[in-house]
Amino acid sequence: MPDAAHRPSVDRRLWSFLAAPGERREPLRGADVFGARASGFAARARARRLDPARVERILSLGAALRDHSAAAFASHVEGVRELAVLRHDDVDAVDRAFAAGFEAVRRATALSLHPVQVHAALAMSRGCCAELATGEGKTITAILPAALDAWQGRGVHVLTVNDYLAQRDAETTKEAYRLLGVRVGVLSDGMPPPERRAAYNADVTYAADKQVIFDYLRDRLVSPLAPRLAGLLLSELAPEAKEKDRWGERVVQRGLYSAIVDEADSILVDEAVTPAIISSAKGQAEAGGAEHFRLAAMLADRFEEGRDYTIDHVQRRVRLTPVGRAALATMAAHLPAFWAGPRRSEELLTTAIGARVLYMRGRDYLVRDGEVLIVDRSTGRALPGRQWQLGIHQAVEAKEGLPVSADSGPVARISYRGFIQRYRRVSGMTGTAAEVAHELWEAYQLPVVRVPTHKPVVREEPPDQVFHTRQEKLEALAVRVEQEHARERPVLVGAWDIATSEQIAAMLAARGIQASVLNASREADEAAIVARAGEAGAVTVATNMAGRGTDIRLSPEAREAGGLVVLATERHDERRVDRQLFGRAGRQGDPGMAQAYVSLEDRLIQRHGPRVLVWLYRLVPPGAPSRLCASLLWRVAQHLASARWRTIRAEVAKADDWFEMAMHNVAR
Amino acid sequence: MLTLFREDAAHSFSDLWYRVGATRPALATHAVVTRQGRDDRVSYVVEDPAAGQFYRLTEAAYYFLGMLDGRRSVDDAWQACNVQLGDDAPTQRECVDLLAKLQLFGLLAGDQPLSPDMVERRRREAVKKRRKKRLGMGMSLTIPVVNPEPFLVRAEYLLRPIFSRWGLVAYLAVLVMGLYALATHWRDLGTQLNQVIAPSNLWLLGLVFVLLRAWHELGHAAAVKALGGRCTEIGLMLIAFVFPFPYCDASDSWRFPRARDRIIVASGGMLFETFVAAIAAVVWAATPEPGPVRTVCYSVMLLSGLTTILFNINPLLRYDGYYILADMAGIPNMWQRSRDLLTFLTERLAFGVRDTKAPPVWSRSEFSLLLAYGLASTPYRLFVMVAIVSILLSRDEYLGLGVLVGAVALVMWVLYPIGKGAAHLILSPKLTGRRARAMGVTALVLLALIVLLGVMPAPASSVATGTLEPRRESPVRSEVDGFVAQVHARAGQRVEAGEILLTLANPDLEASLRASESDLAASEVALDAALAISPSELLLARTRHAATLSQVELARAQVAALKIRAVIPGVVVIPGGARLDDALGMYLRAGELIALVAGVDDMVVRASIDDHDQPHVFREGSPVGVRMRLRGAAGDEVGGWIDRMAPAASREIRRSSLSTDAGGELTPDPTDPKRGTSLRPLFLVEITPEFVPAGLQPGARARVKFVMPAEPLLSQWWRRLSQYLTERVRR
Repeated sequence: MPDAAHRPSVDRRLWSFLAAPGERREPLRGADVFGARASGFAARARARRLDPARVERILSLGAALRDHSAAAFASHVEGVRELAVLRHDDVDAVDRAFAAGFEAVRRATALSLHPVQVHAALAMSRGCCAELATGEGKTITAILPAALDAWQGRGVHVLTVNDYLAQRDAETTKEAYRLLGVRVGVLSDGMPPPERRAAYNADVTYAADKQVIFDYLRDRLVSPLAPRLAGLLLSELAPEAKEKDRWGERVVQRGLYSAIVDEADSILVDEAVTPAIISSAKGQAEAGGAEHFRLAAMLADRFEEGRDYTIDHVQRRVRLTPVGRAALATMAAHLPAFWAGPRRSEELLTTAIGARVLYMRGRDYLVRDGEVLIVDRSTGRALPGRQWQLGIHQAVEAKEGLPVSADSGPVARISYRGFIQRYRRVSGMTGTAAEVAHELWEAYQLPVVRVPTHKPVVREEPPDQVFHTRQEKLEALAVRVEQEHARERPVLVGAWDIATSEQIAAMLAARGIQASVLNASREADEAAIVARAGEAGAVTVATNMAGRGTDIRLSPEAREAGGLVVLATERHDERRVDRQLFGRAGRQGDPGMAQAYVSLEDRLIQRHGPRVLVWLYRLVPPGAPSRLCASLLWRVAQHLASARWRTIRAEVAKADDWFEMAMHNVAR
Repeated sequence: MLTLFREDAAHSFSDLWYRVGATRPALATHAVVTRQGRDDRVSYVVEDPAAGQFYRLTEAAYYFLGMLDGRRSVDDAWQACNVQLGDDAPTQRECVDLLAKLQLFGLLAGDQPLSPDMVERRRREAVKKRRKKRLGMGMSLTIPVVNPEPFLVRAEYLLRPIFSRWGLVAYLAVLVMGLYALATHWRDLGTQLNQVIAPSNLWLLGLVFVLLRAWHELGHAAAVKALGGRCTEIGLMLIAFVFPFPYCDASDSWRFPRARDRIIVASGGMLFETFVAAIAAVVWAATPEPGPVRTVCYSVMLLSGLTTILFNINPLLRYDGYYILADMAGIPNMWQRSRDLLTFLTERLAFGVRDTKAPPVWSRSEFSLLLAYGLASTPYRLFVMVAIVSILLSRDEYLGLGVLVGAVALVMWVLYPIGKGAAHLILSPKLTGRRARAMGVTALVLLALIVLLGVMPAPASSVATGTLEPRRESPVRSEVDGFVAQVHARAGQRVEAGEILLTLANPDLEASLRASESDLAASEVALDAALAISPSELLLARTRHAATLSQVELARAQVAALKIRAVIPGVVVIPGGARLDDALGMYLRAGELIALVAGVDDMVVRASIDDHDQPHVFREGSPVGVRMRLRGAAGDEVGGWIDRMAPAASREIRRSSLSTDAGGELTPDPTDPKRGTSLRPLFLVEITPEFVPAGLQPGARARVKFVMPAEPLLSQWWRRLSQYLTERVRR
């Protein structure tokens, strides 16, 4: 028997972390893919079934708890909890646990969960992705499955897209969790490790996805190369390795057990192949390209469009002309040897030029405090700390006249998809999942369960207004805002990029309408702007930031005036993003209206619209006659765009899986 | 390397580099590397003997790999490659791919030992791969039967000399003997064919086939062993789950460094097979009387000849010939590469996609070979598939199988590629910005195809076989009995009307002529005398005179009939082919047919048209013209016009020369022992030729082409198909 001196230095909370070796599923090939699809289809069909009788039972069990005193309720919860811990998969135990959760939510927030929310909670506890219509109250729904998993004592991570939402959700739900005997932790940027560790040690941890993923990477850098149980035992048996052992005290996480992913389509699909990378100067030596990227970024200045290179906007690619090639060849003579051959030097140069001409300030990035911040394509938010890879970031910095940063080389890297796959249990919820149901299944085995709305949606969605030019479209939009404003209806204008949002605000100002602008460069005022957006006569111009998670509450006068009017200035590549924006209006049975203003000069049409259709549309006078006619081109283009993104994601994921599988014993 | 097109971009850097850059791996010691190819296009094959997997490297990649000695880091090696190889150095991305792949194959030894679960995974994967190969893309099932290695090891001392120079000399000697035997007994070859492929013989054929194939595969195995490799699996492949086809796993030969050795292994099967076939030919030639030995030998020759020519030596199918060609040309993986090249060329040239990477091609001749191979192989495979399916469909006993194979082939070879192509056209991100052009080009090609097949009239015709025959034939019969005393004409001789053909001798007739002549003289005397006696006596004598006179005339005519003459001008034909001279001294009875005189000035072609084609040719608009090719006449086709057609079909084969037994085209009914009944109903058509080329004899075979109004190919095919279907339904 080991005596006290040989007591393991790693505390108990780490065992699950060590025991789970992070086995990766092998990527499928050939006919296996079809087989998996077919069997997945069957499995999903089974998982998708709703069970109204069970929901009835939960609701009646919950109603029976109504009259319990606080103390009686607490002891009831304790009993239910023990039952649920012992019999995690037992229907009756889960039903009782959910009933207790239902009552706790009622006591804490004075809101009764609707049957549809209980449906969603059940689906999530089965390991599905629940699609609840926008504005149905996902935050409080998640309490039920989160508490059920939290009682297991291994930690539940509720992941959402940003710190603001994590903070808000944790605040909203804290009381209900307390009633259920569950401790809640929240992570935010800049927290020191001890606080992080405390947050992870709570039963339920609310966090933005990037917080958890970067903590995971940092932990892996601290821990031995292969944090396996065997490695730990070995280090325990060899006391001379004392120095290394300390890692157990330096890591903050305690293993990945259960994740409930809010905005599942955004985190699990859109971000799926985004690599999370920790870089350091140590990694720089290994990266190799940094010096060349800097050189290329500076060289790019000397080349001129038309004379030296041409831009293919559709393919998003830059090509050198013979003149440009000759110029490069003469320059290369004075450059490091790496630039000697045309293949490499052209690659470096065209990447740098492409970064200059294809990435636009106000659309793809913004500059704040002398730093280039990437703007997310679908959420419209700035992504501090994120960098483009392989020289693009440096080129953009050079273009903006900022000091060109050294490309700090990566030392640890994981894709969001690879990270989420490491959880034992994953469930999700979102307003828009149907479009990506296939991908959710293939990557995470998450069946999508569509839950009907609690109240019928009364939001009007008239056909899109079609214009030939962007200018016509924006002017018509301004006129429309003016009309709605005159009727005292609150208006939310959704723009794709920052520049457009500013332009619209300026146009409205010229008409005497004071619009609040919400975009990545004005993130600080977000909460205040959103709070005002539902008042009568409010006009808000926002990027996609006002999509996910933004709850615009209508004032009584505004509801009287006909509810929120959402006007989109463009159709997004993904239909989901449009649905998220439109979903800001008409929440929970409120009146409202959503309409898109589109033109043939939109980015979507320019890049993905079939030429023939565009040409036909040019013949039709503006102001399309029917819904079909108005939407056909945009539907086709969206379909093609989504397919394009899907293919890119699938290809990256496949390469990633394959590499990870090959390298999984080379660590990190 | 040949630069097909300028590449737009490389991927020099990889964001995964940090994972491998600092590691110090080396190629595992158990990996076997072989240098292959010629000076200008060297490649390296890395083999993992444990899993039996191969991985091919380019020279630059091998250079990079060679630098990894376990002490140098990957990053250092890459930098060194950049300095030394310049633009040809592998990019970071290529290096990462290479290392990951080698790691996956367990071929990298590094600072860390190979993890056991990796080894296990690799083993599992190899097993899975083998199992999948067994199922062979749903078209066949492979069952390993025997491991020949122990036997081969014991027999190695025998095998080595077989594949040596002296072995080759012996083989060639036997081959020459076999060919000589065939050449000397060339005539007998055709006559025995029908007897051998008769349904009753089918089991024997099947058995011989399987044994021969097994022997063929043993040839591969022996070659592998003789050249220093191993062969551990010989088995049975069930093509389409039915037809047994022995196979041999000779993949060990892939690592033979010399192309010559690989070619020998690939041709080992054929060498063994043709060797046996040559011996069979000699034995066959030496056993003139029919019997089982002769039949078996004939079957061996037939089957080995057919499979060798149709499948094995033909490089367009992926059998022995393909591997031989690939090794001779020094293009490993030729099939895949030719497809890659075609895809690339289509995308680049037809669709205008600029960002695809050109597949590596080393020289102009390699380019042409790959291109030609790619263009020829797919149509040829389709053709073989269609041929197999249509043969199966035409036989009642294989109908179900034919439908099955046809359906699978249709899905796999037609529908699936079409669907895949359409999906590619609509969705592929590669075509972004070029989609309109790609679709336009595809639409144009389709349109051209539709116009070509569905609109453009193509010449249509039906073919029948027939013989050249005289319109009229006059029989030569004797009117009287008699011995043939003299023969004036030969068979085949041209005679004029009235020309004497034969002279008979009948002494009785001549005697009776003489008797009746003397009677006549007596009666004339009696008549003169009676003139003086009395009128009543005169009347009596006159009557008697007239009677004798007619007797005389009759006898004279009979005597004259002893000279048998031709009635019409023409050529003398003797039924049964005998010679007229043989008749000399024979006794002929009156009315007996001696010969025919065929009216050669006025000949027709009588053709038997198949019941299939008959409605098409004669009911749906009459043929535009008839073209005939007459056997034995040089020069062009002969025109003609249809005189008449038999109102009903018959199954009679009118001349034995038309049946397949004698090299004709009508298949006799196998149940008829006399072989004079056709398998299919036939309609007789009589055609008058425009002219008969000089020197042609009646009985010459004719191939008659009924030229139909031109009609698009699609509707022709459709008609054939519907004919086939209606006939199926009728049965």
